[in-house]
Amino acid sequence: MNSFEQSVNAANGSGLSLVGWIVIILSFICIFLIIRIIVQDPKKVARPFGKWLLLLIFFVLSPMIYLLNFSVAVEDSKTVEFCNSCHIMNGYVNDVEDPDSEYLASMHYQYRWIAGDQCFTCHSDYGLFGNAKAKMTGIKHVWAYYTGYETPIELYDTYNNHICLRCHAPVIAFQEIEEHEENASEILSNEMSCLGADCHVRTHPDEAWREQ
Amino acid sequence: MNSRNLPVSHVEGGWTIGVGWTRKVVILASVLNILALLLIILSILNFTPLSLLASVSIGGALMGAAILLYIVVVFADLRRRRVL
Repeated sequence: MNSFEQSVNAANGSGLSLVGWIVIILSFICIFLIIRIIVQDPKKVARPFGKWLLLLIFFVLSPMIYLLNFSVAVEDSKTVEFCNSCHIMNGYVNDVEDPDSEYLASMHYQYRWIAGDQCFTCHSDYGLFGNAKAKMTGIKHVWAYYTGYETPIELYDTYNNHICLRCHAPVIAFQEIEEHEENASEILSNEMSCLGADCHVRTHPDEAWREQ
Repeated sequence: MNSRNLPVSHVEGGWTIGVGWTRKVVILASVLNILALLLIILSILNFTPLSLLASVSIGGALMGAAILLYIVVVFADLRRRRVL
């Protein structure tokens, strides 16, 4: 990481997010109050103040903490670092972060054609349902990671060209290429993949899954 | 005799927690809630796929169970007071 990146990361706060801190502080306050009411002064539970305080903790604060944690979980699980926390992904992320790599994913990362959350951006479909589907697939991946999976690892289905098109379709340079116009219907219907030997180079090294 | 000297079960406006089952249920709900909150803290401090899933699934289930138990206690209290 160069000094420019370090400076940007420091400005953005690369540690815990503000919401993360709020969740931790609120959680500790709740735990402290519950223990104080139940253990240190059990009679308080019987008094209206204790009852209302527990009601507030159980019905308002705790669900609020849960929802805030959920939002942190959804957002922070999009990062490249998070994807790399499963060892099977190490080879893919190492290649992506390699400045000498010429694979498509690496070029998108090195030149920041995708500004952030590069794995998630290319492996999730459009909109809210796309995000939800990607998260469900992520849960499936965690399950497979701990219960076993087949190698080499592959996509469940043909790669969705629309993920490429959501950035590339409006670009004039993309539109000016004759092959794109000639094969527009095949590209849009996913009959012809953007990726492969005939068109664009492979996205990741074939043997990346071996590097753990 | 002021309320400080009374057994918990006789405190005005309170539950029969000193003698009944509701006290145990409140303690159980509290323990479940504390466990859920600890799981959430753990997932924030050690953000891995497993801790994240544990906090969202197990933490959510524990918190839900704690809320249900507390609802049971509230209903029991309201019935005792003949509100319901």
